[in-house]
Amino acid sequence: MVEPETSGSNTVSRPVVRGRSIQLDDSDPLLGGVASGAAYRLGASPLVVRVAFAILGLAAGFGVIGYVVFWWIGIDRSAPSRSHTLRYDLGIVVLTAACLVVAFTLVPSLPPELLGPVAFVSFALAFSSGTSLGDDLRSGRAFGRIVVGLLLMLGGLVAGAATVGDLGRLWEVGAAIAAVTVGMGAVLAPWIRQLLEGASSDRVERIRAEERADLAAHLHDSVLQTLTLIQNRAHEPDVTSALAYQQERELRRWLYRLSPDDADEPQSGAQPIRTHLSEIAAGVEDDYSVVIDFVCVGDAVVDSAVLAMTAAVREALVNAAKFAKTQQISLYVEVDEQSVVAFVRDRGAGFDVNAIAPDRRGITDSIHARVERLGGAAAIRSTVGTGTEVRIEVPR
Amino acid sequence: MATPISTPATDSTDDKEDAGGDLRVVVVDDHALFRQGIAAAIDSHVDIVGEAADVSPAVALILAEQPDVVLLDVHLPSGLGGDVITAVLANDPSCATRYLGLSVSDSPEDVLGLVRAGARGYLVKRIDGIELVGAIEQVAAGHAVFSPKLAGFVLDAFAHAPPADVEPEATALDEVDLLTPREREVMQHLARGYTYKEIGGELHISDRTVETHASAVLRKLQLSNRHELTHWAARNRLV
Repeated sequence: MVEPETSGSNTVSRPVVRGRSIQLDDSDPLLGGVASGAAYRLGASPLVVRVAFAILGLAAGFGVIGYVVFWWIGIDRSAPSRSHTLRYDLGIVVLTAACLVVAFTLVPSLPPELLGPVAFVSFALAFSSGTSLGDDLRSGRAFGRIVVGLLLMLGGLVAGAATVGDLGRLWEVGAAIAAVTVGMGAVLAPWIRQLLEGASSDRVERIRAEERADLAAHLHDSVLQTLTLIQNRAHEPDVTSALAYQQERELRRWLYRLSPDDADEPQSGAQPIRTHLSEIAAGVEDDYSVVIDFVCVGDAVVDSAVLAMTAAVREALVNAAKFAKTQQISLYVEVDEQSVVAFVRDRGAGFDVNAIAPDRRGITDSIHARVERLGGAAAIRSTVGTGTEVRIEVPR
Repeated sequence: MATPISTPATDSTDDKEDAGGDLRVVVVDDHALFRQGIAAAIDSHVDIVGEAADVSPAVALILAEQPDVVLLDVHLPSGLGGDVITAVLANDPSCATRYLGLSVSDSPEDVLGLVRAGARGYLVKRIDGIELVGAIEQVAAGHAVFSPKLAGFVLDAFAHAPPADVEPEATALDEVDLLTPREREVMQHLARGYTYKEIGGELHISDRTVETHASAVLRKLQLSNRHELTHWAARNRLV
C-alpha cells in the first residue's frame, strides 16, 4: 500500500519506498542517486552499494547496465528539471565511458573504428543532459556545458568523417558539415528564438504573478477587512469615517513607501522630524477620530530638544482634538538652520485665553514649560467661535 | 465643517457665490464613483457640462464644450492629467479653460507635474463641497489655488535660494527661482491652513493682493527651470 502523502511532491529528504522499485535519492547523489536509493531500500550503507555497483561494473559490465536501468526507471519525470552540479558532469562522463567500454566489449561485432565517433556523440549527449530548460544561459556552467557539447558533436562528425573517408578529404567533409549546420541553424533560428523568448516571458510572467499575489494579500489584510468593518458599522458615521481615514492613511504609507533614494540615507537610528511628527499626528488621529493636515518644510534628524518640542506639539494637537469640536486640524512645521517652528491650528470652538484659571495647569505645564526649558517660546491665539492657533518655536 | 474666519479687513468683499451665473465645469477622473460624488457635492453651485474618464475623451470634451474650469485627476488610465492640458492647448492655443488638479496623490512629482503643465492649482480629493466650489471660482477668476501641501512643496522647493551675494545679472535672470519675503509669508500661511481672506487680515493687505502673490508664486513654479525643483520633487515621495 502506498501512503497518499508519500507522493512525489513532498520534500522529505529521505527516499520513500514507492511500490517495489527503488526511488532515486536526490538529497545527496553522487550521480543519479541510484546507489543511495537502493541502499535505503535494502537497509545497507550507500558506500557498500556503490562499491558493489563498481565491482559488478568491472565484472562484465553488469553493474553499469544495472545502474543505467535503475536510473531510467527511477527518474521522476513529473518533477521540475533542476540544474546539476559539476560533480554530476564528472559522474556522467565516467558513466558514459563505462557504458562505451561495456558496449564495445560485450558486442564484438561492433567495428572498433566506430568507437571514436560514437564516443564523441555519447559524451555530447551526456553533457547536454546536465542542462535544464530553466537554466539561465548566461550562467557560466550552463554556457560551458553547451559549448563543450557542441565541440564534442563537431568532434564526432570529424571523427566519423575521418573513419569513413581518407584524411585527405577531411576539409571537404568539414566544409559540407559546416554548410549543413549553417543551413539548419537558419531553418531552426525562429524556433530557437521563440523558445528563448518564451522562457524569458515566462519569467516575467512569474514575477508579475508574484507581485499580484503580494498586492492581493495586502489589500485583503487591510482594505477588504476595513470595508467589511465599515459595512457592519454603517449606522455609526463617526466610526466609519474614522475607519475609512485610518485605512486611507495606512494605504498611503504602503503605496508611497520610502523611495530607493531615501533608503540611501545613513541608518543611524535617528528619525527625521518629518517621519516622527507624522507618526505623532497619526496617533492623535487614531485616538480622537480627527483629520490632521500635516505639512512639513525642511527636515532634520530628531534630537532630544526636538523630541521635547514634539511632545508639546502632540499636546497641542490633543487639546485641539479634544476641545475644539472640529475634525479638521492643521499642523505646519518649518525646520531651518536656526529653529524649528510648529503651528497647530483648528477652526473650532476657540476659547478666551485670558479666562483660563491660573490653577488649570494643563497648557502651562505641558506646552509652555516644556518649550521654555528648551529656550523656545509658545504662543496661543484663540477667539471664541473662530478657532485656535498654537505656535511653538525652539532653537536648534 | 470648517467655518471661515471673517476678518475686519475683508468683510466688505462680495460673497463669491453669486459671481455672475453658474460656472461651466468638466470633471475628468477615471473613477465613476468619484465623479458622481463630486457632481453631488457641487451640482447646486456650478453647471457640470460633462465628465470624462480618460485623456482623449477629455480633450475632445474640453475642445467641444470650452468649459470655464476642468477638475483634473493627476493619473488617468492612458496618461497624466498634464497630458490633457498639453493636448488641448496644442489643438486650440486660444482655449481659455482653466484647470484645477484634484487627486488623492500627495506625491510632489505628481503635483508639480500638473502645475507645470498649466493647472492653476491643486487640491486633495478629501476637500468638502463648499471649499471645492470656492476653489473652482478662484480658478475661474484666474487666481491660483494652493492646498496646504502644495504651499509646503513650494516652500521646500524654493528653500535653498541662491545666496544674495551672487552677481546681480544672475540674480535678475533667476528671479523666477526666488520667492519674495511677502510671497514666502503667504505660502507659510497657506501651509498653516489659512484662506486668502484670513491671510489678508493677518498681513494687513487686501485679499486681492494675497491672490496676486499666490499667482506670482504659481507662475514661478511653472517657469522655474532650476534643477533642484524637479530633482527635489523626485526625491521627496513622502506622503
